[in-house]
Amino acid sequence: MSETPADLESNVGDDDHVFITRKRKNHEEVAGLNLTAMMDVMTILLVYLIKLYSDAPENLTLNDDLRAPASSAPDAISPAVRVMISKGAIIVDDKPVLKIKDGKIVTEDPANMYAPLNAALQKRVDDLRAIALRTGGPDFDGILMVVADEDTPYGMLTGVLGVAGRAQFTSYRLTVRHKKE
Amino acid sequence: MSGGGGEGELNLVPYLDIMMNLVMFLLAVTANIVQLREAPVLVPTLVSDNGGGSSTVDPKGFLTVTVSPRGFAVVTSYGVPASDLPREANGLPFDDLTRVLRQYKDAATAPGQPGLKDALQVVADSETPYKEVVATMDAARMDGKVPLFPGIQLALLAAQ
Repeated sequence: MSETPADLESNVGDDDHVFITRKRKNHEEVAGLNLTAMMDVMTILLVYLIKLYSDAPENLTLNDDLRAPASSAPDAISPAVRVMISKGAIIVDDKPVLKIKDGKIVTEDPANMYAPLNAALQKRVDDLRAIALRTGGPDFDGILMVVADEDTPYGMLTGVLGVAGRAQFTSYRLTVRHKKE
Repeated sequence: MSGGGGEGELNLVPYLDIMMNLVMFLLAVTANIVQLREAPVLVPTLVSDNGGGSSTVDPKGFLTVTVSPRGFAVVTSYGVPASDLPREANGLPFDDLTRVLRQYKDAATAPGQPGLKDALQVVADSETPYKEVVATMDAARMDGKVPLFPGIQLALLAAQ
């Protein structure tokens, strides 16, 4: 039968008392796992991953409705006003402005079918100019990022670019999936 | 410090569970992030009062590649015969397009020739899928590691 800490303390001197106190502390530490180091590692890893995820400018939601074509274009993505052309809608900065069905824009006014897009882009430009004026920041740079599904008809793509030109966008970047050589 | 949550101590086990789940989720998400790039394109000015897209079109020494259901047609603005590259059973002949464009560029930049701009115009049938236009731009932009026509201009269709 092993001695308990109380038994050990009953008949000992001062030197032995120090030894027994240490032994008792070691006995308690073994009973529980020290998680502090593991928590440190996990916290650092978590912060790193959250920063990596949130900083990615290409943080786009690509799915079956919006699958960008593969390309060997070398330029990295930079933030800009974004127009997305999926199989189901044309979206300006995450707000749908036109519906698409079977590769055609759903509209009651075919002569002005891009009017909602034009209004949305013009409003976005006005907002950016107003913000720049109020904050003293850089003026609207005229850059438009176009994220289009790979099956988008060329006619619709150029239609969107034409409307963007009328909304005073002057530089166009087509977003593509990186194709490894 | 004990992780078991003894009396008077903070119980860290639920906290660690959450952390572990978050780390696993973020690791899975970041591993599957699709790498995106951007391809700058030029678009001709549409009307005089809008600023439109910038254009570097020079009526002399400019190439136009048309993409249609039949295949590619390379048209020049200075009298060199055009080339037709019909669509093959497995799709458009992108390698042949690169080869033909290289020949045009080499011929036009020879001594005594008018030369060529680095820009090239791509125009496609209105129903041509966007992926074929992007692949055409890739074929025209680089010949292996050598730049061919790095400036691509998309022609807008008249009906837009």
